[in-house]
Amino acid sequence: MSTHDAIVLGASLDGLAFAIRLADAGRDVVIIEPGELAGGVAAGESFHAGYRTGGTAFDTSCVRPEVLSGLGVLGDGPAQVQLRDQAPSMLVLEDDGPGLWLHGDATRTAEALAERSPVDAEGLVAFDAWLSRVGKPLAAVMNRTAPDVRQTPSVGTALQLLWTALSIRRLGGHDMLELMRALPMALRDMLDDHLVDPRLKAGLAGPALFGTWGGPWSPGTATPYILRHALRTPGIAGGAAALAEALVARAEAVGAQLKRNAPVEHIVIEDGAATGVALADGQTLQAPLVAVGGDPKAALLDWIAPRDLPVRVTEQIRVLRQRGIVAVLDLALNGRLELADHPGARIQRLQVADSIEALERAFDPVKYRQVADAPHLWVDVPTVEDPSLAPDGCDVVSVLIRGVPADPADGWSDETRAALQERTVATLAEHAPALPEQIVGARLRTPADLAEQLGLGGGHLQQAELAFDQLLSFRPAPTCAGPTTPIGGVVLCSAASHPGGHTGGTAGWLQAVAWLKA
Amino acid sequence: MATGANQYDAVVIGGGHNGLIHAAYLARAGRKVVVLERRHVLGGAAVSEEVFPGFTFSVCSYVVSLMRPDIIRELELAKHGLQILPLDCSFSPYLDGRALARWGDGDRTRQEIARFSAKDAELAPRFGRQMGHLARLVKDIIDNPPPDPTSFAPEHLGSLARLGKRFAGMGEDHLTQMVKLMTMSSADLLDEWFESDQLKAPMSVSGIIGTFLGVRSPGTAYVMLHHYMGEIDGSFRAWGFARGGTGEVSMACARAALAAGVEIRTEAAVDKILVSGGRATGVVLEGGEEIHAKAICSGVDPHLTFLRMVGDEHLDEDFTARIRRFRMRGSSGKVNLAVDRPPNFTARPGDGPHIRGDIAIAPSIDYLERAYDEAKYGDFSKRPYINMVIPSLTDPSVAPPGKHVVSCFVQYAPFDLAEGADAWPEKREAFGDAVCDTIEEHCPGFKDSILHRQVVTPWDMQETFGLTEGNIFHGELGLEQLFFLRPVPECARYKTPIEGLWLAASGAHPGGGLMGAPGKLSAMALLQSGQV
Repeated sequence: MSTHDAIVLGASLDGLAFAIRLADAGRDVVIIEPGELAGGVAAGESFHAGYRTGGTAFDTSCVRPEVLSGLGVLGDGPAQVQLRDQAPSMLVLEDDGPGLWLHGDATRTAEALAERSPVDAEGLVAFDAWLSRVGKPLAAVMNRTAPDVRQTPSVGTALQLLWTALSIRRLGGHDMLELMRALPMALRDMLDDHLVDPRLKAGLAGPALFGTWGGPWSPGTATPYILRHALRTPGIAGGAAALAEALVARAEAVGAQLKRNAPVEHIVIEDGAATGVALADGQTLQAPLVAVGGDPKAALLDWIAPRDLPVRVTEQIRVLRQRGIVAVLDLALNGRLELADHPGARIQRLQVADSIEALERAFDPVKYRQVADAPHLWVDVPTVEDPSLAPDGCDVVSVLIRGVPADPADGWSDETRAALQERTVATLAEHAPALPEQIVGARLRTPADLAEQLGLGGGHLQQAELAFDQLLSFRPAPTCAGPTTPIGGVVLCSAASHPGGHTGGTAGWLQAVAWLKA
Repeated sequence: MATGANQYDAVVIGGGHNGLIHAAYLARAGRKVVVLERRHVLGGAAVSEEVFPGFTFSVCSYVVSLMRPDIIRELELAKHGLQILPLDCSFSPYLDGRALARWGDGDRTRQEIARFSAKDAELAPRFGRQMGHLARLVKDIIDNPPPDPTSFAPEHLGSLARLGKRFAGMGEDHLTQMVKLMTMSSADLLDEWFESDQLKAPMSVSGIIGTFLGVRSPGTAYVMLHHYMGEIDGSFRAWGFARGGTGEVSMACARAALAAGVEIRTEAAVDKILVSGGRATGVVLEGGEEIHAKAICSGVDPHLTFLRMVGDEHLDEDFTARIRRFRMRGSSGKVNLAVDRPPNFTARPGDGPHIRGDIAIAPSIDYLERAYDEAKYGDFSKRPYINMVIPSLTDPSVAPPGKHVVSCFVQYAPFDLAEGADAWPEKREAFGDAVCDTIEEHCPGFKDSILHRQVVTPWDMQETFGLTEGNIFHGELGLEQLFFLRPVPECARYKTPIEGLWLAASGAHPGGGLMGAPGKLSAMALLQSGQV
């Protein structure tokens, strides 16, 4: 039996961030990872001899530079990462044309649009400027611990709320009212108010839908788009895998111990408070603090005996929605991905879904627990940025397939998996005819596989859906949102906590900072 | 022909229930008011018509619950003939031969639900209490005009502060439930409570009525709450029919208005609102007659008011664009049937009390969602959600002896068909057939009992009843189109940027649903302004 100051369950980015902050403050921290992989959905992994992925959830555009600085991983030193000079451009593929380029910089996209849709060239710049203005107060909210709704706000919280209200008020009546109107809207309606070209709208909408359970017609989907815009950065040079490696290295450097392949049996609770963790191998670790860096539902409902869990917590966490609808296909190619319309071009990001309707139709079957025939594909070619992931002259192609339920009505079988893989490859082959012949290795992970292998609740890449009632002080549940929970010594610090996934460990960082303060 | 300037204090465009209520309140305050109705009958969408000889239908709006009790009291609507016959049962048949009837009597309902799930039967009353409690917490939002969040005036700040305090003071549990209700889908919310689809499906539909959303669309739980508000007031607790049809609600309002001295003209269609120097001075009727007044009060929807009757030339470009994007998007139709015998449901035969309330053809959440999916891409649902009532069973005055009227509210019928809205006249009967076929599945022989059929598509609602795009609420009830955002912030307190022009109907706060609240609140705002 070993004794520590804190045990972190799950070496996700958020778990690592939590551990680093505590270890940095002199605490003795051990991180328990059930699997081999550290870095959660960001971790790169070998999936075929000689080929590695750039991370399961490859998008790093919403990482918080200030958090990475705080963690000590932002810089040009060893085991540090830097922001890219510019965000990777994305090509929205279309059936009847060369596709539309979307760049990180709206002005550049507008230039590319000038010929195709002059009205959008103008509209996009104005829309982007509005998003940037209203994004500032929102980004500030996402960078801070959310207020605790269980108690009357302290003077500090009240001032902070007032400050937020004022900063939104300072936008001016017009921007403020437009923001209040936009937040609850369906993404389709918001985009329709500003833009016309279907490719453009699909390209803007696509990436923002990944945390939600809904199509762009669903009310509320404008919010993830607005937040994503508010938080956007060019992303991490080297991608998600580079960030995961840096955090693992940093954790070791500050003295946090990482135990891999150590599945949890249960959390030990005595007199209403956590005293440690029992591992599946019979070992027990002792610590007055147990931080959950993985799926909060599994941790609270499976690892804590029902009698030790207050009814309010059980009720709230039981209804946490974490329906994963994204499968991941990694392809190892024996050459470079080559698009028929763009010979010789090195393209890092692609989207298959060329209209809002296509995005909506990709989601429809999920509601009936069916796999979409024409899912929405978001493709990353990490070898464009980091050629070392594959043999010389070869590419890794990672595809996020949106429109795949974790529990299809007919279940998963080898046939249904093969069919999904074939269909996805065939869709890409319409634009890259040589692709099927180039594939030397492939790995498909359904949301059910992701749940199993990466410990994602429901197979959801962000551990909990992005919905208004699962944001801020309500994420993942109002009783468990803050640095303390009704179960003494247990704190939740995964992507299922505010501000959510894809923010590069911000949830873990905020919880650690708040915990140290408390 | 022009009549003298300011012949009236106020002219009200449209004799729907809100227009009439608005006029009645102004007249009771001593103002000289005229109501101009385009059709030969009053009531707008709350109208009863003898469509076929001997058969009187509530052509559009068909049940009553949300009408504000203070309006009923103040305008003495009961004295003016309003009589509500409560609906005691909500009946839902399923294709597997089972059925669920929810009764006014809680014990009976519990037994019915228990046949599908004992757990749900226990939880259902708790759910009802919770919804009632939350509805009470937000109720005064619909009984007061919305504040202006951009204003620093003490009344607005005060109103916002009270609102903030109310939410903050709810406590974590209620606040959480409120956030869920305001933002979740009705299906997801019900999933948190119940396990049986047979209970969830008919409950979820109150979240989609009148909206172009599915039961799985976020935001629909709020519409469910909106419907619960009707059930908590003292005057009549549940849903009901107006004796003589829904038109009798409007007629009671009209009688109250007449008694207060309002002049009411039918077949007086307003063509234009006269605007000069940024000020509304009167209206021009289709025949060319001009009527002048100090205030012009619009009882029609914001699109009609601004885009057709005022016209772009008098409006700021930005304002026009924002009115134009106020979403109407009608999604429902109405099929009114005259039958020679009441429908006989396989799942529960006979014409007992179970079919005297409302009947929901909503067999499962998936069924409802599929109906929505079809409509999203521009077609009417082949197997739609139908809310059926047979008022002749409780009010024999509306049909010849032994015969019945069956009123079917049908969703979804999108105004914008893939072929365009103009294709509706050609598709009207096919839509009617889909509805009758759907009912036939539950009531074999039903189609043979039909004597006459009236199909009201969203296109008809626009053309006949003046509801733009057939939206029964004068604009969708989405969070972004409610409260101080309805229909646009500068008109949310009923006054418009055109001096002297006021909004008086469901396109303004708190929205549609035969409440009468916009009509009253706007009259109060107008009187307070001192313009009349």
